[in-house]
Amino acid sequence: MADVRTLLAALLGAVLGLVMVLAPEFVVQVHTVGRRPHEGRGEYGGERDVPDQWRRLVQAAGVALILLGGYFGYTLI
Amino acid sequence: MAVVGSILFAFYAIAAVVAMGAFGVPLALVLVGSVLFVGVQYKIGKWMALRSVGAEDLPEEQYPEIHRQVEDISAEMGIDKPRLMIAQMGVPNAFAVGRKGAGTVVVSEELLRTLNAAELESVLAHELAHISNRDVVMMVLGQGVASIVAIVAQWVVLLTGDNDIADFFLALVVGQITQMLVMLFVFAISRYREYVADGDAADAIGGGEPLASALEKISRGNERADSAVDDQVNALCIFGEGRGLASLLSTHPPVEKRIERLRS
Repeated sequence: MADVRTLLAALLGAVLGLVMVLAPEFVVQVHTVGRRPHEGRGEYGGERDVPDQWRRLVQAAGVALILLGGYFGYTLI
Repeated sequence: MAVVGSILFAFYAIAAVVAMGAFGVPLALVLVGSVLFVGVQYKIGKWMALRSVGAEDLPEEQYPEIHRQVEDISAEMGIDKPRLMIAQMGVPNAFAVGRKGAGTVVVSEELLRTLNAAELESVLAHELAHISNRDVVMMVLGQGVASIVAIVAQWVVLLTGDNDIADFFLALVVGQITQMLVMLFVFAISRYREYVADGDAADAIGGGEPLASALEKISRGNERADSAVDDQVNALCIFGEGRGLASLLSTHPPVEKRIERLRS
């Protein structure tokens, strides 16, 4: 049972990490929609403009998740 | 819209049932806790939104025409005139916060410089439609449901595990993924509400052309600005063009589609 959960931690961690690296704006939107203005910063009528620092922070967290997922996967071998 | 709303409610119902069944939380506490959670998010969100852009009241003596337009559109939509504010946002923009009777519309100085009177009126009408349709509250509610479902999912993972480091990691990841999945439905609602606000704005001002023209003008200006700045930043991103997978991850429908609908 513990192994299944560790395997899930490895797989889901890597998947979430990939999403964070490839679509950081989506991740930011997930946490800011409903908490920040609907139009927010950025162009009117478009998606909220995500500051570069936030983008890079989310991508860095994504890389950390991929590495952690890899670590948990490694412990299963 | 009804289907997506029902799915969202189903997510909340499942989370509430799990909270009651697995953790023994009484129904009244689940409901009061949910309302408090969403209420605090709403209050803090409104305060932060205005503070983050440094919004100030739009002086009536300096902008009498804008105040008059908003009064007329508000009367047409059957809502109280919201508070009007102005801010420097660096780009043409406007947004609404709050609810019917306690709404605030913020416009950027850049927007006032970019649009003509008719286009500005259409943008104001679109924002007033968001207040009239309770879209701001709807988004706060959606975020609240997503957060509650994510918290419950996180605790279920935590309480059913062995409390080792992999379990904590799994709980964190499951919470995030759950929130993302629920938010996909919230985004779908958001995209639909944009079309509705466009339609209501067109009805209120007697046509869709001014808003179509405003959107066209703003997006053309942004295309020029974006092409120089964002190429490097967007290199790793699958987000931004509003097509294919990216459209599912967007809170707004593509501007071209909105323009097309407004003109049809």
